[in-house]
Amino acid sequence: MSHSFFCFQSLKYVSQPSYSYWCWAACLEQMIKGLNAKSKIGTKQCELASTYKDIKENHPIDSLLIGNINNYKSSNCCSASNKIPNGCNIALEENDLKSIFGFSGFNATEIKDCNSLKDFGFIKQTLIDNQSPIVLKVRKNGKAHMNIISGYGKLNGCEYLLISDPLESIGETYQEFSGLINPREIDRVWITKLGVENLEHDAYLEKSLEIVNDFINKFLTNIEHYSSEKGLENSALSNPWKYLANKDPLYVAQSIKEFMSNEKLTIDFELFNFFDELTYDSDVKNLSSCEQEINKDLVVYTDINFINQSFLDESTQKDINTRLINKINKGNALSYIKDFATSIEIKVDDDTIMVKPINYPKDYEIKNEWTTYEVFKNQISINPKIVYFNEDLNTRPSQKIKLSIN
Amino acid sequence: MAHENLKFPLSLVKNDIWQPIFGAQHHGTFYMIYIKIKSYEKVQNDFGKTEHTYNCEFRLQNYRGAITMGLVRSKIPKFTTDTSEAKLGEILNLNLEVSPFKKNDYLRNEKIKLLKPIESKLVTVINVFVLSPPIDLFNPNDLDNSLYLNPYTHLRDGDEYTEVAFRKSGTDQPFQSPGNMGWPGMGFCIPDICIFD
Repeated sequence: MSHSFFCFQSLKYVSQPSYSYWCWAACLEQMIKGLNAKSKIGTKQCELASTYKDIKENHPIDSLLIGNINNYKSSNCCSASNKIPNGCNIALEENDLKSIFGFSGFNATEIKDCNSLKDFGFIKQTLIDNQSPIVLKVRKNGKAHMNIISGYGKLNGCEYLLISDPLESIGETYQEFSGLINPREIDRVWITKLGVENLEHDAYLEKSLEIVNDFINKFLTNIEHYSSEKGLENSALSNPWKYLANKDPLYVAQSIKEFMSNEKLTIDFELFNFFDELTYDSDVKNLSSCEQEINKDLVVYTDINFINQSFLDESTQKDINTRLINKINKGNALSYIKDFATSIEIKVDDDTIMVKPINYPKDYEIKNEWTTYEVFKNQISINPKIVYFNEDLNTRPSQKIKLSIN
Repeated sequence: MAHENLKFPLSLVKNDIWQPIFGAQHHGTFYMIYIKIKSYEKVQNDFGKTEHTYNCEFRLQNYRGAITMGLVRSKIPKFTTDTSEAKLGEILNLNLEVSPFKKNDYLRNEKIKLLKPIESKLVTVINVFVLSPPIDLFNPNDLDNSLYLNPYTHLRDGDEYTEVAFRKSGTDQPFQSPGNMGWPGMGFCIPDICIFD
């Protein structure tokens, strides 16, 4: 099985409150928090709704573009209970989207031609280039609704997009690409990008890009030979993103540096093998039919967010490799191990991953000091796993059903 | 939105009968949806995760009305926790798409893949998403040339059109234009809730 799934791992799913019109606010909260946007109108759904309600009731939205948004916040749509305060259950007018996203730290640009969405490559490249989701206005039961595209993937030659629907009953799913783009369902589309002031300087990516460009320039002739033999367009391998899109930039840069230090550089065979390795894209077609949707919880995926990566989901993986070390070196290496309710700090010393527990159950036999990852794993595994209470015992009987299977 | 107390009983062991799970009237047509749960298997998927797969078929039966309703596809099921006043606890959402002006009564070989098995007394809500009429019949951006008006969004008023909006009585929520982005994922109270034996 060949597969590759990508998503912004720092985007944590946010659902809209039940029976509310806050799909837009849920999408925006997810993006603001996940991408560290400098929002001027709050981060939580209720805060976003408060500002928007105030704007709609008191001020023309365009006049706020030159003013201080904080001067206009007077509504309070936040509530301790599950109920949304009166007058706060408001939908987003599509013509206000650009402004509201702007106040939230995003540049939103509408794609006038929805046919662009029929090009999987366009969507993939837009996500990679902008490092931010694509916003969709979709039609559900005749009403308008907001979804975001926050990832993509391939499985056995089939292409998928990760669609995040703030309706909790739908959630996040990788949907088969060819069945997704339906003009009956998608009304308008916006690409988003963090405002300039929000972008962190990604020195790792820039340095990697520089190394890849040097490599391309040096071996342009070999690239032409390789492309000709493989039936590829020359331009594909002349584009540095072909190398960087599906792999960690540091991993690619490191591989190139090691390869260029090799004396066999001029031999086409060696180079061609290296091109294969660098550009491997899991794009092996087979005859099996595509599944229409794939549950995000049932797949293993990697991230496309080079700027603000989370180490969380990989902390318990068995295979510690260069890619993981690169991630740790890039920072944000704090992790939480749910099974043991334990927070750990992570660093790399001489290519060895070191771990230090920060918060953990007080009766655990565990040392609050730096140890190697392997030692830490052994230490924590002798402690009991956390057991969580059932949410509602009345509706969760433990009796098991036995099926008769024909 | 489901009725809180009236639920369709669902059996995992009656593998060869159509069990009713949903009833509604859309575009003037009253129809019901049935499920046949044929078998269960526990498998390890390609990613090494354990899946509980229920092999099913869905059937839509149109009963009364001029517009033919048809099944489009099933979508990924999800477990959620009900936070409404009904306090249904953990519920399994089975998601289906239905379209007006479509002839398709069956969805065969559907696989409901779950991360945990269905247990007795599990409450299941059938979320049916009704797609808009085909674009060549109803184009919300070109009402003048539409052959049909979606009665859930627009009413004809001579040469003009009126937008349809709802709000719960007794509240002061603003009425929403159908073009505004905000969909609560619910309609009027219909029989769409089931409980496993």
